[in-house]
Amino acid sequence: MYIAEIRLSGFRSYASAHFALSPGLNVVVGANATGKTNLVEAAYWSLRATSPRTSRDDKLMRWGADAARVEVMLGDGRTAALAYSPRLGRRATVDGVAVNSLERLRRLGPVFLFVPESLLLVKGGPARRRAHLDAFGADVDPAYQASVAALQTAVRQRNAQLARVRAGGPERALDPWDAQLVSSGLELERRRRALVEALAERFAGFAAALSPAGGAFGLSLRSALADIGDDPDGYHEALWARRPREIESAVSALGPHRDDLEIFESLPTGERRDLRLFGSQGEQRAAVLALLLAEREVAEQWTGQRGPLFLDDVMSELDDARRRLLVRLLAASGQAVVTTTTSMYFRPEELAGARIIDLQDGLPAPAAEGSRRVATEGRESSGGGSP
Amino acid sequence: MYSPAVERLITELSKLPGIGQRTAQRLTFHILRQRAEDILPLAEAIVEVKERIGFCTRCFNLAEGKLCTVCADPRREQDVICVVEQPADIIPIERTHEFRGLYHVLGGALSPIDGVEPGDLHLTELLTRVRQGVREVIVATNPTMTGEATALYIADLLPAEVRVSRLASGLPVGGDLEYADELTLGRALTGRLTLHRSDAFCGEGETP
Repeated sequence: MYIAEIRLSGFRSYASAHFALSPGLNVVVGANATGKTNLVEAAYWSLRATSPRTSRDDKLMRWGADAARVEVMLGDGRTAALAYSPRLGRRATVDGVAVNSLERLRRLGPVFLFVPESLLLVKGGPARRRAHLDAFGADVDPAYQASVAALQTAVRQRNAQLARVRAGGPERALDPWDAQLVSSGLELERRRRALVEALAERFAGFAAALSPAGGAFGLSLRSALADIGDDPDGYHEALWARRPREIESAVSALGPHRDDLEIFESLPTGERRDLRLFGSQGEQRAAVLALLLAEREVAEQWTGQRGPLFLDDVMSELDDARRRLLVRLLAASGQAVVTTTTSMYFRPEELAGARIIDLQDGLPAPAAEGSRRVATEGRESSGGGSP
Repeated sequence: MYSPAVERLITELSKLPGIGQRTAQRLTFHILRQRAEDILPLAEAIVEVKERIGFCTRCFNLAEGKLCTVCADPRREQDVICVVEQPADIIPIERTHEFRGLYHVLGGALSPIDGVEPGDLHLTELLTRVRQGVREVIVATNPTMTGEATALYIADLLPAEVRVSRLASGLPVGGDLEYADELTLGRALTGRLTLHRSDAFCGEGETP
């Protein structure tokens, strides 16, 4: 799956614009405040109905616009459009048909995004890594989302029951919720483990490829359930052992909802150096990139779809050696859209096969012709965001 | 805006499930347009149903009188009980004509978030009935997390000598695999059944 064209209106800095993308490497060049980040954010938002930069859709609207609207045309002819207006809220369509679930957008295929905020994946807390892993899981494993939801419900119900037992309710009422936590917990844990296992091998490869000095990098699921494995009895016993404490706190503390994804370098001594705590900025950036590249390969293997990769302003923060390594990886990896303030970060031969989108004047340069043609062909889809 | 009597009817109607403010208004104006002899039977029916219908003292199904029609029927098997969450759940099971035993309505499912605990369900009454000589209890709570938790609780509650079974989860009969959701299909795979093959067929050229 790749994005052939993207059109925006009323989105962030864009009044109206459209771009044609190539299935290979695309380089978006522009000075600060020319809309590079907004462009990749728009593409991601239209396919996932969420943005890593804000949780509020109204922030995505251009000042003075009635609605924000993004439409993407995929390489296989399908289209997806997402619009937000304060009056009508968020409306998504796939091939012109209104859809009301993220699941329908997900089925179009995976999409990968790096924005400066993505660094928090390594630097930030475990919740962020779990959320990222779960979002990717939902992209590639059809039953994953239901497992996540089931676990969340089980934890909420059990916590409520713990509070009631603490208030003097019968302790026996906890038993069925222990059982629900065990079954939904082991179910999600099994899926997560399979996901991380598939990612880990590829992550090691990409992280090493992005590291000029070499080194062995790794990824593993840190879980309190690791010793328990797939054994429901073991999980039950562990819950039983901590029951008095959990009644006291009314919090279920044992389960996949407390997992973490560990991103580390394996030292020759056999120790692990946690990149969250000890990694340099460059190493952390390379680790996030390696994770995204690994996810893309797993997506292709599990779903047959590779999906576009959007990298916002990643070149300026990498040293020259890492830049060369990254471009080499991107050249062989399907659709990639890289934004940069200057094309100097690329070698001429690296740009030879790439599509350059120059935002200097706020308008796409070489790509504009093709996309303008599309605009005048009367493919104005109905149900647009602005009246 | 409207007279108090009209306002009151709108308010009362909007308390019904699935009826919002606008629908309540439409219904109210419809009622106002009707002739008295056409619409008053509705009010009488509501009064009558509330006066005459209560809960079965044995199984908590809806009943006109002390016992519901199922409990009052001596031809039903007296030693098998099917446990359901709500009286409405009995109707689809009755339609199958597969079940000839009695019912027990819990009045809900365990859900601590909503404040529903074992004490809020008709569980003590179920235990009393089971102790009076019941062979099997079929737990037909919904295949939701609250329904499953309730089923587990019941299984632990009942005496060990009583057989406790649970409705199976699986594919709809006559449905296409293509249209099954992942969760249902996953459950159906986990709970798959072994096909029983006749010995004659198995023996032909395929002796293990």
